[in-house]
Amino acid sequence: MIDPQVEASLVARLKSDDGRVRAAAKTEAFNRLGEPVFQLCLRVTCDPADAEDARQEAFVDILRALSSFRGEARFSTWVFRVALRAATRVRSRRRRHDESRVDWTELTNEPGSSAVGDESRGQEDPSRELERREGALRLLAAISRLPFAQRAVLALAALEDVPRAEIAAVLGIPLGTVDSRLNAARESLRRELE
Amino acid sequence: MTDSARIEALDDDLRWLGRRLSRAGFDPTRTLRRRRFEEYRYLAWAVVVALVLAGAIYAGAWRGVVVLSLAVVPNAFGRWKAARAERSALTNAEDFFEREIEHLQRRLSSERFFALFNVLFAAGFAFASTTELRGAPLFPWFAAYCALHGAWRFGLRIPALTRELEELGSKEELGWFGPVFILAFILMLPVLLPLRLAWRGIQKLRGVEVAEDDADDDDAADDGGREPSSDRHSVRGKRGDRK
Repeated sequence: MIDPQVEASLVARLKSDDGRVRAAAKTEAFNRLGEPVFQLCLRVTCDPADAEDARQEAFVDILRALSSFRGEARFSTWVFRVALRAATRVRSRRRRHDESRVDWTELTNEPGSSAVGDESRGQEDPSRELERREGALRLLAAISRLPFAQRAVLALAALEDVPRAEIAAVLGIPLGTVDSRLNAARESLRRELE
Repeated sequence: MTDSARIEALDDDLRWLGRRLSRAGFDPTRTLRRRRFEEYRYLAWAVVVALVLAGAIYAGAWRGVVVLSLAVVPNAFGRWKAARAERSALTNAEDFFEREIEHLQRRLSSERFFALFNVLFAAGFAFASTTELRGAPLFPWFAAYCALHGAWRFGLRIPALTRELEELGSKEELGWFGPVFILAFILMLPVLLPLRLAWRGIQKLRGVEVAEDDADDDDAADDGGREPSSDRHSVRGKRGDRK
């Protein structure tokens, strides 16, 4: 998670009148929050192409609606909420149009799929890599069968360093509900993966 | 390994996969292109409607203006309201799921309303095509469009929204709507017959000469060698022949 002071300065620079400062702040915001937003969208949409679309939509929404961000909540809380909404929208659009799913194997082997912050890329044992990929896909398939309310909580909980209070703030639900949904989601996952 | 440790390990793998798939850099081109396309699509639609309305007003077909406005304006208003709700949803901090359910329920009820509206308009246009109203030759096409649109809403849009609501934990029953829609759809065309007869009765009472049906036209052609009516469903009034 970003430090609150860094966040405040980032928001101030994003709202700056100076175009160059604003452009640099946009890049910084994407570098800091792009990957967590993608992880969140991936768990909600359960499809990498949809997750990428949802991330782009979320950042477009964020930059367009930035003037209406009053700073009552943390910037990251607001970003995750916008991302969750974008992911939900992309997912329902895809379901409505019933387009074919993306070939996962092809995507994960694609040379252009650069690893943001993944220093271990290229040094990993291929068999271990395959094992991890299979495990990840199994988990994602199990997540896709969860009810949306549980999936959203699980997706936020999977982000590193996001406290439960923040999840409750993103979703606008009490902390107890976050806990109960998280437990229910983990229980369902355990059953699915048996 | 315990179950939770196993799930945690798999979650690590998924995080790793997410990092591998996450592309560097913000490239909103596709999103912006899609949004621009959506905006221009609505704009193009608005321009077409404005042109049709202007044409109808110019031709003095005020009934057509009223019918077209009734068919288009509520839908456009619904879309505008949905877009406004979407924009405001970006900045509030209410329960995300409740907002989402509320939003989907609003869309569902709007889809139901417009599905029935489409069928009613299809029936209206089909009936109007049998009258002497100006633009009557176009009405069967409008009727077909409305009927197809209604069927599309009922068969695809409404089930998709119901499924989305179910995912969010809100069970939506089709209730009265399903039978009413199907009944309206089935009855749409047979109901037109008595309506048409009523229309012809009214025209006769007004003293307007009404063309006979196709069979009568054929008989007339056989009898007197007169050309049968080219418009198979038209009711032609000769206002000048009034007694």
